[in-house]
Amino acid sequence: MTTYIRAGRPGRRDVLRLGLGAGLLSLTAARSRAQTTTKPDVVRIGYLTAARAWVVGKSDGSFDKALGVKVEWVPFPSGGPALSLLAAKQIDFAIFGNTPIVAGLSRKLPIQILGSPEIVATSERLVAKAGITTLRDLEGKRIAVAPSSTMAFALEALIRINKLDASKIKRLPLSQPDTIAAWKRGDIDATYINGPFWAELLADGGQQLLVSEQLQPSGVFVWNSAVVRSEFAEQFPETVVAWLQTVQAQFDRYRSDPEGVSRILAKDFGAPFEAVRNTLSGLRYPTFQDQLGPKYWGDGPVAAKDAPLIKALGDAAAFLAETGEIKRDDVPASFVPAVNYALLRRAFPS
Amino acid sequence: MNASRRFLIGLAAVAGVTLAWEIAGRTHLVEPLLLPPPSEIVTTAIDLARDGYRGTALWQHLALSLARALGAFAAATLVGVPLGLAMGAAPGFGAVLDPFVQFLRPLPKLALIPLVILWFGIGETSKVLLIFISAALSIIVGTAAAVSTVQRQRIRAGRALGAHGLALFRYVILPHILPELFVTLRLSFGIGWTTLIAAEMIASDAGIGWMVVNAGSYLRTDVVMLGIVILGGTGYALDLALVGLQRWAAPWSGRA
Repeated sequence: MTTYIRAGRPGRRDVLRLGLGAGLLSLTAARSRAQTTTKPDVVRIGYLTAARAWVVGKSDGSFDKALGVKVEWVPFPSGGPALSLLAAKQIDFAIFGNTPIVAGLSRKLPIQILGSPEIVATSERLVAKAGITTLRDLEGKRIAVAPSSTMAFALEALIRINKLDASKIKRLPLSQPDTIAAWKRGDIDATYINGPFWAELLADGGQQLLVSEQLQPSGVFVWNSAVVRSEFAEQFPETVVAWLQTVQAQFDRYRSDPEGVSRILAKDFGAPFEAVRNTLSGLRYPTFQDQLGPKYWGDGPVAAKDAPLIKALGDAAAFLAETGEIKRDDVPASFVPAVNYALLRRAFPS
Repeated sequence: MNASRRFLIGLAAVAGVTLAWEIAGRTHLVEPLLLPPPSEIVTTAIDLARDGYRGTALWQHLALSLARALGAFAAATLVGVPLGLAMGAAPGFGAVLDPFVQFLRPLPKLALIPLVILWFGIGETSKVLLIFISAALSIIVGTAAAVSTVQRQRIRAGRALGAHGLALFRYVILPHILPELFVTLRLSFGIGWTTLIAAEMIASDAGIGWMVVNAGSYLRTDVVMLGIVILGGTGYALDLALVGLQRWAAPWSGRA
């Protein structure tokens, strides 16, 4: 019986040849890509599958025009998958949350931070069922929060800052659409959730207890950073500069016409216009010039050690190490070198 | 080829691949971030065995996943085998259930998650139910198919010899379908085990499937690989246990 089966299979040599062939093919492919030219063949931009103001440049080809190369847009549902895409070199640029970025840097993912164009203000909110009116009421309650999100980080910070008894608060890791279902069934008492999801909960009798912006005086910042693969930044610095300026141009466009940009994005993402407009207005958009100042990253030639966002990166790392998501030994001694100030300054000279 | 020789060749293949993998990692032929070498996975295993992962001991993660999978599989067997037998034995009943079973069986179970949460909440019920659904449907189909292969002559011969009802089932049908039933159970257990990750995506904070997904979102590829090794190894061991059970319960498998 064994001989009968074997007759139909490819021989040992065929398999070897096939393997060798595939190996050689991938090697040559890798080599051709490594050739240094001033411009890449294609720029791959990763973006969150939620409406974000700068993505308005996707549908009208602004980035293709400004960069002078073919642009591919790669969606990702959250920061975790974005890290995987960067590690696999499937995207060159992305804008996503500071918590996953800290996790990536701790894992020695070769990426560099390019500022913080989106600061979470009111887009992430703590919403509770009617009857829960103060933060203290949360003790003994169940709070849903998307795992490995900036909201999870903010929730822990909120518990710490307000000296709530963490052991009495049950945190349930739930994706945001699932949170809505759990809320409707009465399986949870509160949730820290992003727009547009909270709109539905507030309409359902939910009470807003807090927005992320209110944590800023205590030094808790939640934001989205632009990142670039280090290898890409070394090879094509000019493209990075052009990309940054194009990102800023999209934010400028949003500032002058929030309704129009929201309408375009609503169409692009297939989301209700109201939801998109509310989500976008829940973020603050400091210009890159502002970001290179003392309120964010510091105004020196490199990021300042005691700049609020450098400190916040350290806090996020400490939080992740404490919860056991990353190894304490993996946390870099300083996040200052992770910010590519040279390219930021070149794109936005003071 | 005898069994011990097969085992040795298999062992050598595993050792060879592990060695090549380690060398590839050490020489940076493969980026350790993308594929951590076996030595790093061993270090991570030791760390997690000592400190646990996210506040839960490693063995507890495994025990929880096993409890979910085995509980669901036991329930699926208890429900699926009788239903499959009934469907195979009574063609009319089979015709009624068949469209539903065939519709549900190939559905990706991830697609069911939102509904399962809405109907059954975010507790253990939902997680076990998801594994149960995927395992039970395959068991039903496999069992029904096995029953339908019993030759008419054998049943007629049994009846002619005076066997009816339970005796016919016990001495004619069961011996015939038992080997195939075990194949079905093995396949179904595999399917149920693969659903574990989907199941543990529902509001979990423990379990090996959850550990893999969670570690992945923080680029902890070492933990992901460890989880995969544990999932694969446990699945393999449980399959071997089923094979052992088959040898004991149906020693005539493959010989009839």
